[in-house]
Formats: sequence, structure tokens, C-alpha cells
Amino acid sequence: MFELDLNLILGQMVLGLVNGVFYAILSLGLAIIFGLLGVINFAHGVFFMLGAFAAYLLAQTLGIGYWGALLLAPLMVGALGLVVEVALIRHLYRLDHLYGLLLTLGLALFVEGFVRIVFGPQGLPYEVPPSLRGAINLGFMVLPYYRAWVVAAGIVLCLATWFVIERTPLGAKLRAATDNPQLVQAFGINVPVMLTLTYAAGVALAAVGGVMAAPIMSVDPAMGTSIVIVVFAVVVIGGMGSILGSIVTGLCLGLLEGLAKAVFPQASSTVIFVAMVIVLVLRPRGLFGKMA
Amino acid sequence: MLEIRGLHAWYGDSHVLHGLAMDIPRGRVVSLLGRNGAGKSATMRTIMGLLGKATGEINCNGVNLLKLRPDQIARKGIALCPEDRGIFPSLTVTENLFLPPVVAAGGMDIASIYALFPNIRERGASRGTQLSGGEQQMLAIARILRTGARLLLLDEPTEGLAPVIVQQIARVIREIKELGYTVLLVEQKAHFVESLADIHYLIENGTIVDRLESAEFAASRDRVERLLAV
Amino acid sequence: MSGPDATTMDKPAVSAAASRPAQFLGFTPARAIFFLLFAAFVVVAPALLYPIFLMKVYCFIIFACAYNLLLGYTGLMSFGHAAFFGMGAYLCGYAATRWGLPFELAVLTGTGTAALLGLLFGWIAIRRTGLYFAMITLALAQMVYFVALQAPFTGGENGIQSVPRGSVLGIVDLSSNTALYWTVSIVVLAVLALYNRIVHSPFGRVLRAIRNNPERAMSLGYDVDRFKIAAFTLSAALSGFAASLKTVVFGIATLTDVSTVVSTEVVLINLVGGIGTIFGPVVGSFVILSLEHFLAPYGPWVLLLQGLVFMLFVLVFRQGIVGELQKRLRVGL
Repeated sequence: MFELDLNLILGQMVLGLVNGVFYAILSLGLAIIFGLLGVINFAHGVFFMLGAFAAYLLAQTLGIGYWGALLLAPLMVGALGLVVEVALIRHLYRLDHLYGLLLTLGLALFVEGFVRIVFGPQGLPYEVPPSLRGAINLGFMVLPYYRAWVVAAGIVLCLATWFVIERTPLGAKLRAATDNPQLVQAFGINVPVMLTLTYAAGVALAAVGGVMAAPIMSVDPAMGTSIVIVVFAVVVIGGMGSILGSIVTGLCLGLLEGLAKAVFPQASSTVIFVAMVIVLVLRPRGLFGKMA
Repeated sequence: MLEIRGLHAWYGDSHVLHGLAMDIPRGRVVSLLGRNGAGKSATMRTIMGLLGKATGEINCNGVNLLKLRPDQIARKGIALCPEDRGIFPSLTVTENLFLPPVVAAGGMDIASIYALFPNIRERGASRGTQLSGGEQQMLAIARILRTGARLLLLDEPTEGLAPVIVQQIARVIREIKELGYTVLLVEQKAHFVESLADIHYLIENGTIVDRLESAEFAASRDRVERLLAV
Repeated sequence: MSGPDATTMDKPAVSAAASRPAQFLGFTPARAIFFLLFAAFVVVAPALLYPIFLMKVYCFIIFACAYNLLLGYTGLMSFGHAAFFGMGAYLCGYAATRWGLPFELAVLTGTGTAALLGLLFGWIAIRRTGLYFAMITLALAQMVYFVALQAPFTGGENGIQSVPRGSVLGIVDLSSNTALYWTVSIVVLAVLALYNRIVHSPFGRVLRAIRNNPERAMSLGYDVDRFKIAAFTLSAALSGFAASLKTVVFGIATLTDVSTVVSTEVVLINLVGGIGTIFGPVVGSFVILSLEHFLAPYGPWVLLLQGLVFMLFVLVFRQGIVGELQKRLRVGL
């Protein structure tokens, strides 16, 4: 019964890579926010979801299409992130980090409840932009252009984020503040503002992912919560010490999920969690985790 | 440049500075000598706004620094070289050097810095913490010379370093002084500050117990050593 | 919660220990009074409120005690207790319907399954601490959810229905709501007393030492990991017990029991009631379940309000209702 169809496997792995891109984008943002703020942003998934809803709203009310949404939705969600950090999260920095997790969990429930009240629980459709309709025959599969675009754009976005953090003066400030925020502030950098902007940037990144996901997944209030749990597993597997590690882990786990879909479909929803257990048993710090 | 009056400060619940008063005149090198735990680092950190709670006055050009955040204090032209040197492990040497923003015009240009600290240029691409202790100390001083800050707070710059490095640091401090910087030099070693500082403050239990001009220092050397003896 | 900055959470325990009033089985006079007040409430409540609703609250009190033992007294934050609750519910239901096991054995099956699962998850999750621990437990529970969704024995979307109530030791017939109510009432009071006893036993003291300072506990010669796994397993077993009772009361075990909703609910109950208090689970369960009960017709408003309550308590009342109360009254509750 296990007749392995190579075309099927390759096809599913390419599709898995699409999910991997979303995992990478989200775990990247989580890692950046955690590094500087010490908060695991449970609400990361709802910001992803809000990105998709912002794209939907922009199309419905202002007739702004995909490309405009790709720019505007992250700005809108980022602005919301500013408010959230200033109004809520910054009051918890002196406390145990677990309170940050609880607060953002509450925020996630609140936002999801709010979106459900306004838009209802069912998924809403979002069109693939006209310029990316159609598909290409790769021989082993027919790949919609849009998915190819998501993979390419997602990987470029991740690498650009990596470049900004690891290779620019702005990124150096971010890394320095992650190492020793007090000293960075004593050098004349306004660290509280930096924390706010970092949170906003992290959730804006999630919103970019949300816009990119809108034509693929249906736009629904629960899309964030389900993906954020998988992303937590990704983060546990990769460890949050390294930006490049987050990206690689995200992409690889997407591939793994695709592989499972082709070979043993029943396991496709659990394979990432199984991978997490195996990594925890063999290498408790995670694949790219720094030793404590 | 800085007048400190009636300064009290707390580390959590423990009261570490008890009505400290001292003056740091412009263009001078001032030493602050005392044992471990006497309140030297606490004084530095309070000036920089890094200690939790403090009362009293730290007057800098008519502004009480106690009312400002650390980044605002830095913008007044004050820069800290912390006791642990504070080299950022995630940054390269060059990134460490360029991290502190320029707070005023008139900072040392990069060519002069590289001339003063040749190693920093050579090891620019290494991670900051891969440097030797002496090199890290040089980097910690170099990066605050760039920023245009005129008052430099050096917290035990010679701690744990070999004598030859200590001499290099003394040379650097002399050059800094020539260039008109004001320096507050926290130390435990009397012989190191003797020839460097113009004014010496002795600190014990969070308060200033004596102030010596450099001319008086040699005569009081015994008393200073007793104060510093463990 | 662990770490040096968890002071807000440690204060009640410290102040309670400092006064050291007379104790009997972990009961100080103040705690004894509150316990008797609750017992009196249990006696009069069926005259005022629906017994089914009350029994649901009592089951959640047991579940919340199980959770507070872990979060409040061991400092481990789990986001995956739905796995133990859900699997406890399924196995109890399965044992009663398919195997035809009597009430006691069905409950025991549910409890035992949850305990085994807890042992396994505890063994995996304690490899990391703090925030990672929370994320790992959440992910493990999600894995269990997907298994429950696909495995044949859970009945998928339908769940296990028409679970028979049976009787206690073949004597007390549980088919009447009255008999069931008094049985559940006795059980919840017994569990509350047991929970109080465990917290104030030498075992409980070791758990609190681990919560306050794991390194120090280790240097005192305690095998910290073993105690953590033991606490986790105990908590899972008690969660499975609560779920088994719930399954008997409602006659069903469904996917909801094993979903994230349940994991967050039990955190919320304890946050509102008071993390690291004995009576927090009681107060929290009443508040949160009443809220949900009255808001249930309004669908997603429940989610919105839960979120608000979460944020409000994290930002303003971190000690929870009972925590605030014991600060005012200056007694440990």
C-alpha cells in the first residue's frame, strides 16, 4: 500500500514549502520580539490573522487590491502593535516573563472574539491578484504562480530581515539592546521607544504573512490561533537564539509536513509536534539554541 | 561640569549612597578611590541614571540629572565605560565601536581613534567578546571617545589587567586629558591614579570621607592605603 | 512561577508562613472557616441554582485545583492541560460505554490514562523551563487534539455520547440528579481538603521550594526534575479525574474537552481566583463558569470577555480575587 509516488512527494513538498514560509515569517517575528522584550507574543497569530482581514477590508471598502494591501495592511497592523505595546505590554517588563505570555494570550482571545463578532466565524474569500493567476507545469506538478510567488517573496522577506538584523547599524542596535538594554540606553538610545518599534515591526511582519496567506487560506478568525501553536513548536525545535536558525527551521518543517502529506497523510497534522518531541529528547536546547 | 550634593541612592532595599557630595570641574581628571562596596560604582551608575532610586542633586549645567532618563543624560555629553566593560557579545568589534550614537559635535574622529588603538582596527570583524581583556577595555574607552561626550566615567579601567596594559591605559587617559576631556576615574589602586588625577576623592560607606588635591596626595598616601586595605 | 522577579506571587505564601497559626491537616482556622463556608454553600446551593451547572462548577474546581498545584505551588505553567482533561474524559466515557465498566472503574480508567499521559508529557516538557515549558505543553496538547480528531475510539466530531451514569459501589443509583449531586459534592469537598493537605505536606513544601528557587532546592539535595515530574503527573491525574466526573455528569466526552479552549479556561480560572491559593480554584471556577453560562447565547462575546478578563487580571489584579482577599484579611487562604 505504500507505493511511493515521487511526483506526489515532490509536489506536496513544494506546497509544504508554502506553509514553511509562513512558519519562518512568524517564528522570525516571535524570536525578534522575544529577544528584545522577553515576551512570547501569544497574540502573534492574531496579528497574522488581522493582516489577512486588513487586506480583505481594504479590498471591500476602498477597492485596494493585493499589492496595495501588501504595503498598507502591515502598516495598519504595525500601528496597532504600537498601541498594544504602549498600553499593555510595557507594564509587564519588570515581572516574570510568564505574565507577558498570559497577557498576550488574553489579547489573542479578545481580538479573535472581536473579529468573530464583526465578521462571523466562517471564512471569507480573497482573490488571487490578476497578475499572479495561472499556473506553471513543472513536470511533477502544476504549480500555481501565486504559490511560487509566496515561496519566493517569503524567502526574500526572511533573508532581508536577517540582513537588516545581522548586517546593518540598525540591527546592531537591536542586537546590543538584546544583550544589554541598560547600557544601550546609557549610551543615549531611547530603549523604551526601541521596544515599542520592535514590537510593532514584529507584528507588522506577521501581518505581511497574513496578507500573503489571504488568497491561499480562507480569511477566518481562527486562522491565527491554529498557526501560532505550530509556530511555537517550530520555535521550540529551532531555539530562539539565532535568526537564520528560525528561518531554516520554519522552512524545513514546512517541507517535512509536505512530505508527511504525501507519504502518510494522517500524520501530517501531528508530524511537527512529533519532530518537537524527538528534538526535545535528543537535543533539549533546540537545533540552533544557545547553551544556557 | 558636575556638582553632586546630598546624594542618596538605593540598590533595591539597600541604601548604598549616604549624602554623597563632590565636584567634577571641567577639563580635570577626578579620581574616586575606595574599597569594594564603598559605593564607587553606585556613584557612577547614579550619575548615569541607572540605579533604581536616588534623591539629592547632580547638577550638570543647571540641570538636575536625577530627573532624566539614562538616554537623556547621555545626550548631555556624559558617557560611561562600565566596570564589566560592557562589550556586546552579539556585535563585532567595529559594530561595538560605532554603536553609541554621536551626542554632540567634537568627538574624536575615527582616524585618531584607530591611531590611538591600533588593535581595534585589526580585529574589527571579530566578535567583541573574542578580544583579550585589555583589548576589550581599549574598545570600551574608544567607543565613548567617538560620541562627542565631554565627561567620561571610567569604572575601574585597570581591573584584572596585566601591568603593561595598565600602562597603556594610563597613557590613553593622559592623552584624553590633553584633549580637554573631563574624566571621573573610579579606582582601587592609589598608585595608578596618583600621577593621573588632579583631584582625589576618598569614598567609604557611601559617603565622601576626604578630598585631596594632587599636591597633597603623596603626603597622605599612608592614609589612602589604609582606607583601601581590605 | 519561578525566577527572582516572581515576588508578587510568592508574597502570600511567605506572609502565611510567617504567622504560622495552628494547623490541622493543613487547615489553619481561617482556611477551616472558608472550607466550612463552602461546604455550607454546597448544601444550600441546589435550592438556588441548577444542579447540573453546580456539578459542572465542582468538576472544574477539581480541575483548577489540579492546575493550581502545578502553577501556583510548583511554578510550572502548562498550556496543555486539555490533553489530560480530554483524554481522561474520552477514556472514562469509552470504558463506561464500550467496556461496560462500572462508575468507579470508568473514573479510574480516565484518571489512570491522564496520569500516564502526564508522566510522559512531564518527562518530555521538563527538559526546558519557563516560557519554553509553556510552549511545549501547548504543542503536545495540540498533538493530542489532532490524534483525538482522527482516532476512531473518540468518535471524531460526534464524541462519545450516552455515557451511562451507573451507581456508586452498586448501592447509590446515580441516575437521579439529586444522588449525583450529593456524590459530586462529597467528592469536590474531599478533593479540596486533599489539595490543601498536599500543598501543606512536606511534599508540597519541596514543590514550593522548587518554585521559589530551583537551584537552591537542588543544592539542598532534592532531585528537582523528579519532583517536577511527580507534581506534573499528580496534576494530570487529578485533571483526568475531574474530566471523568464531568463525563459521568453530562454523559458525553467531546473534542471540546481536548481543545485549547479548555487549557486556557483553567489558566483563566486560576488567574482570576488566585494563583498559589487554596480557595482560588473555587472562586475562579464560579466566576468564570457563571460568566460563560450567562454569555453562552451570545457566542463570540464569551471569547472577547475572557480576553478582557485575562488582560485585566494580569495588569491589575495579578494576585486574583482570593489573593487580594488574603492581603486584606492578612491570612493565608
